[in-house]
Amino acid sequence: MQVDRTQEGSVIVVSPRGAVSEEELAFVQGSIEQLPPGSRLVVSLKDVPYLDSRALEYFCDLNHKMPATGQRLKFAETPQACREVFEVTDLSGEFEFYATVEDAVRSFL
Amino acid sequence: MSRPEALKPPTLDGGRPAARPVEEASPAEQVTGHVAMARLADMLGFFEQWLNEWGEDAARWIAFDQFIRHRLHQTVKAERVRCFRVVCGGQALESLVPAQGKLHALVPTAQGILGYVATRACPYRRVDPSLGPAVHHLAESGGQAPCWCFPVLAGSQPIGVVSVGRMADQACTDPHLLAVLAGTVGLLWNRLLDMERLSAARQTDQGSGVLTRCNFFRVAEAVLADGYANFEPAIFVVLAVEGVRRLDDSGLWEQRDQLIGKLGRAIRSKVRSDDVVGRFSDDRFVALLRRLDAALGGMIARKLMDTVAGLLAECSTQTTPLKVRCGLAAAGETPRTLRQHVAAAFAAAESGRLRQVDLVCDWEQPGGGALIGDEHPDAG
Repeated sequence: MQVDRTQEGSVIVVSPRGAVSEEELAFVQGSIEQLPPGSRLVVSLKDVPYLDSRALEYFCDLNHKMPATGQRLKFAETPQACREVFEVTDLSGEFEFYATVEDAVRSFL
Repeated sequence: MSRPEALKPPTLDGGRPAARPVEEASPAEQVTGHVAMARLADMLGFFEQWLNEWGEDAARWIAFDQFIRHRLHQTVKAERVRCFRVVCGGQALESLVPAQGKLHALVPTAQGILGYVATRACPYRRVDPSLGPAVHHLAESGGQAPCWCFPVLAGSQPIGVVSVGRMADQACTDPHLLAVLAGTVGLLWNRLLDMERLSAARQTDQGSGVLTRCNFFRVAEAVLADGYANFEPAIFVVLAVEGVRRLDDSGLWEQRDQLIGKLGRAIRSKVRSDDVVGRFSDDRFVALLRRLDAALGGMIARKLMDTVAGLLAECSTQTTPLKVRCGLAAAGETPRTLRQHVAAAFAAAESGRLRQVDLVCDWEQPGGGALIGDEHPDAG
């Protein structure tokens, strides 16, 4: 699975390409866990058609481990199919969603 | 020089022929009011024929996009035409044509000239002197500035935006002509939406507002095939409500009808927009939840069941107790037919009734057994 990682100023943008399920999750984890602790992180879900339960669990765990700055994990360009999974599982309030990567990056300012 | 493929009239999409030959505007032809009006009348006449061919087709919005692009080109020589629908409660615009594969790229309405037009529900014209420099600057800030951009309205509510990159000079300076054109596009857009609603209503069970059994099978068949083709998992959920018959026997027919309507709405509201929900019999609903693995499907089914149980608790009385049981079947690595999956979910629900358990699934849980959640003694 391809996971792109780019830097926008001081913010790291991680963009998985493809469904994030059990097998592919390791690639996403690997890409995120290489970052220094406390990094400003945006996950772009633009090219993710769906997430499975392990992916959701991972993002929830990651969110809880975010530094105690009141920040939450920020998702950008979330397709409707993914967004609705967060909604029907009552998890959408746990995260921040932005229409574009630019908006998500700007939210750190 | 040949025109772009999308603008060619004989095949709007997928090679379907146009209903009748379309007259091409000659490059030398002036876009006068008379010519434009004649083309507009042609557009209206052609649309009804087009609608008959494409009204029920899954690709109708892509074809509609092409229809609009082609007709605007014919009428005012419009080029670089793009159509967007307003989505996410007005927060974003989505192209009528998928950007890449199945995923649609979203344009936020908080920025750019498209957002300006969508949120203010007013058109933009590059040569409009009544617009301030800030608006023109906004249009130019996004790269290729459109020369005309207009909202598509349903009543006063923006439901879409059409952007035109270039068009005939005479048309640019004729706001009345453009207003008529924009109004016509809006009319056709709303007509297609109405057709879509009518089509959905015809497939819907009137009591509950979800698909009838027959239409569930038709829609779910295609969704399941699509899921198999893309190696996507899916979950079938049967919700069996017990006690509905007692409402009938007690003469509480109105309450029963209201309950069925509430159940349909509640179930629909707790699944995603592309999940498929059908009513199989008086008191049994089936949902096909796409792209979900067993664990996530089980979690969503539990929430669905809790919602239904809450609704039933409100309507339940001592003499007419109501209860819901849930059966789940997973469409995973072992391909089964749609009917086999539905039958497996029904069998799981029936097994729950016999064992007095709320929720049963047809797959083995990691800890052994095939139950999800707690066992409860049957209150009924």
